[in-house]
Amino acid sequence: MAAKQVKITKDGEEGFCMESSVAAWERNGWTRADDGSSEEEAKVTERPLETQAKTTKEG
Amino acid sequence: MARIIPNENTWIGFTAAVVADISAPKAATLAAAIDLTGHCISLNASARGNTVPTPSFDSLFETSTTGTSAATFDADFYRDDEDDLAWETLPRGTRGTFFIARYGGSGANNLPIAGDDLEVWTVMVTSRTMANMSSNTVLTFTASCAVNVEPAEDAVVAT
Repeated sequence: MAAKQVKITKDGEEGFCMESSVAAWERNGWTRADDGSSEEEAKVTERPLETQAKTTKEG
Repeated sequence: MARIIPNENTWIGFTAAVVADISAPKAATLAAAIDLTGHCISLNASARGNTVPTPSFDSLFETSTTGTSAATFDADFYRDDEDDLAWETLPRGTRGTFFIARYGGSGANNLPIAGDDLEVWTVMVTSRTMANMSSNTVLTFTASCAVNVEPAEDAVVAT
């Protein structure tokens, strides 16, 4: 799902949130890392879907 | 410790930060997380395993072996016209990590600190659904999530 996300930081922690939720994060001490003029099209790295079903060849 | 209820014990946090090692999240990451404890009514974070039948003609006993496993995550939160933190934090498409300290942590307001046990669930919100509105009933919603990383159900907070 491609959605516009905003890079935010707090105390050295970095992450991305939805544009619509920036205010909620800011109220909790997070700050947006960009200047607010352009939202980043975040490509959050996904880990492998380790738990996704695999075909079992046993039996 | 004894058999307890979640009220005034459990702590639930959510962070947008990438947690490098979900089996040992840093205390600083938890401290920076949004505390959703006071907004949460119920939470269902559970894993489920599958077994694969492996019967054979030489036995009447039907054997089985371990198969895949999966997990589901959804939680109910209050809406609040003054502090709508949960609703605003969890719009559809949000990626992040829930920290669940079912027995609470050793820090202030049950915040887990280094050495405390907790569960770490990396999720993506797939829907944010309002409960049916009805007379004499508080407004609530359900956040349903995809669990896109195998959860760490026995994590310990690192320094």
